[in-house]
Amino acid sequence: MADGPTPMNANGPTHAELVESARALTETVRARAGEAENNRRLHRETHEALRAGGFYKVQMPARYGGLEMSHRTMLDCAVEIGRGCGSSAWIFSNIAAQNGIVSMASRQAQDDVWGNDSDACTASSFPAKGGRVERVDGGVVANGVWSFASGVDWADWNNMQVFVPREGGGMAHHMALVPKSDYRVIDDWNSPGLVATGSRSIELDDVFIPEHRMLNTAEARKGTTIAASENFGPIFRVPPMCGANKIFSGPVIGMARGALDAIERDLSARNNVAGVPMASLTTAQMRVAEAGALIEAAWALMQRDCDVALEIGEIGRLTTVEDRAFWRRNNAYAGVMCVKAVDILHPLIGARGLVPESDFMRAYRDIHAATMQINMAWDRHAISAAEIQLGLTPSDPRA
Amino acid sequence: MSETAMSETPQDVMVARAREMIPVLRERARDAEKNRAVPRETFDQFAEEGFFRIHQPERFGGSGWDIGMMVRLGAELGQGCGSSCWIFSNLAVQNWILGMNKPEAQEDVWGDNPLALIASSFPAKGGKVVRTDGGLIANGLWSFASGVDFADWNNMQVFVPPVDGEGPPEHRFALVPKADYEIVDDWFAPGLAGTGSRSIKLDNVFIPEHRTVPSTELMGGPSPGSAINPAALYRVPPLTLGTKVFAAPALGIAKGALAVIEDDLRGRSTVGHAPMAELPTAQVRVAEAGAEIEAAEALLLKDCTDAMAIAEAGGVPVLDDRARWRRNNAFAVQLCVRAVERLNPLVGARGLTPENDFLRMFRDVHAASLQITVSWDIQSVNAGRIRFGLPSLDPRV
Repeated sequence: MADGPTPMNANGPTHAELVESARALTETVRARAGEAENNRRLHRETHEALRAGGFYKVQMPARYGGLEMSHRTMLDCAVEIGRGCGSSAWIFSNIAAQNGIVSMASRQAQDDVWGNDSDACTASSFPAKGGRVERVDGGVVANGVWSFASGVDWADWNNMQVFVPREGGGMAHHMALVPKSDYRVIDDWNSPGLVATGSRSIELDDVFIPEHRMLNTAEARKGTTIAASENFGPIFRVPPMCGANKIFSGPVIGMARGALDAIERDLSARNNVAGVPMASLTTAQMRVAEAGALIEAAWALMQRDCDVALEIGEIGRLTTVEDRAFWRRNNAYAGVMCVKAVDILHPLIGARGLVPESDFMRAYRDIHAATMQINMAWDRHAISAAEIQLGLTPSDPRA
Repeated sequence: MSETAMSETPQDVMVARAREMIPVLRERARDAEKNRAVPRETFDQFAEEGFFRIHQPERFGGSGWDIGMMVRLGAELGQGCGSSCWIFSNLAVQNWILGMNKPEAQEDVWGDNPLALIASSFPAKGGKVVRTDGGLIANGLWSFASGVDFADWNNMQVFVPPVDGEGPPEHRFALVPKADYEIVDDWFAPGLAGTGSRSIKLDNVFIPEHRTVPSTELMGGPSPGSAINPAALYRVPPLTLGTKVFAAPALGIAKGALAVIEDDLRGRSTVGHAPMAELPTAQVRVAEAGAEIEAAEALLLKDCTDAMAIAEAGGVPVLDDRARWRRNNAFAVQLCVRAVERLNPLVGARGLTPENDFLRMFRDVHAASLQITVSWDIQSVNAGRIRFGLPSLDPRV
């Protein structure tokens, strides 16, 4: 490390302070959540509060005015926000994590994004509907539709996942940055959960993307992109698609906590038809206890993995395939635990919960949508981890 | 970037030593089970390494380390032998509990011999105490005295009848020296057999008041022992946070069981000559067991960190915290039991031998999960009640 580590932003908040500010937003976003769902987008005020509070900058380099804080900080903020509104937490996490990923691209790319505006936001997308790139001199040309662009309503850039054809055959996975003037937003987000994220698609028509705006994720995993990024801080040594998967588990833990809050509030004041307080029913007590334990275990597991990732970054070693596979497994498992918690609580809501404005039912819809994200898919990440556990070669190219 | 945060602490060194012991503990585990006793050489090694003294107050020569250390050591030792681990944690926890006891009691036990060890017991077979001038009189059997083979004292749980005969009995710990009891060899358990958790019998034994402490004085915040042991550790509630004593071995056992299965599957083929490691169903079992075990470990360590943070800030844990720690502890054991059960089908019939490590671990983790403070049915209901503002069903929470 010729340059030494980039110092964390000395003027920024502490972990506890930023998490406390996130907690201060919980009720506000909860109050807006129903309307946001109806609108299929967050309130502009929510985005403004997240921006003004510095939340998006949690993983951004100090030299551009970022906070360079740990994955743990990002996780814990998402949990607090997600407790009020899953979609708000999702947008926070996605934009914040993209700032972390842009930090791994070249200095020139970082200058392109933040040089004139340190508040610039970046969304991301995946070519699920067939968007393609082809190699040209000095970069790639992109055509077609990229989907799931969470944050697109507020973003100035999009960091698209692209598969670049290799000369000898096969594809190389990259992140590729395009400014918003280069794409058109297609309003195709009509999901039954995480509705307010407005995770619409974008369409590109013969857009040239210069090489310096592309990040080869296999190279990022090997640590060979660190020098060109000039970001030597510990958090930037944890490659995307493993540590950064907390962008999905953080909101999920928050949604589960929000669901538990709703049930505890409701049951504390409710009698069954026989006039017996619901809170005195042993089965209700066990459901609440098991959900609480599941959620707390999931959160503890994610916090521990974040702490380990930071330690690895601080020691200055690169992550191994084992580190990454177990982080991904645990991340997906945290999702499994939180979904289970919400499913365990579900029968307690009763038929009176079957209204559009029920906080519990919104959390239920959101958490089931959130765990569809491929990085939360237990079936997939269980197998990758087991391959390592049993001494086989991992079959997932992104491991 | 703090260098000290990265360097090896004395705790890290001890954990590494415990890890090195796993193979030898595993070799001795079958004998421990057959003999219904932890081998003397294992006990001597543990003593020499200082395992029993991790939570003993520094003024008596102990390490006075945070309670998370019990989880860290248990997670290693249990991989070798669940019974040996159980004896480690049960003797180590009593050194912590004594540190919270009255200064005179600490002097009685450690004044002449700071290496003295204390086992514990519960009156499951009807042992009773009555009040008398200056203390209590104990009669009958106290059971589950894990560590009794090596202990110089026993810290019995007793239920003291109310003075006027009205109301519930008072729960206390009461210390008796080994000269005051007879060991009854009644430990024929199908799991954790090697712990030799026999009963002790007392016949009209007087226990002076100063060797007893009500559990209500050990609920977090200053304890009677805080007068001479000011460290935060002695302000953490042993009957709620301290139930890690039972979860830590369960965690170690589950980790050992997973390691045994992983090693086995790496080299094994099905009757159709397909490598077992390539079967997706086997893969999902080991992945899920691995995630369950890591979640249990993270949860146990987080509770320890949270409890220490409250104590260090001079705070007192509220009832909801204490119930939650019990709940989480019981849940962590549930996760470990589920992990081991999930792996069980992978052993195959060839595992059905008395010396099979996995099946011993299977027996041990199930036995561990029967300890009342890690019983999910009991702890979950109580925690749920307390969440809803109802009174605790257990006077020790």
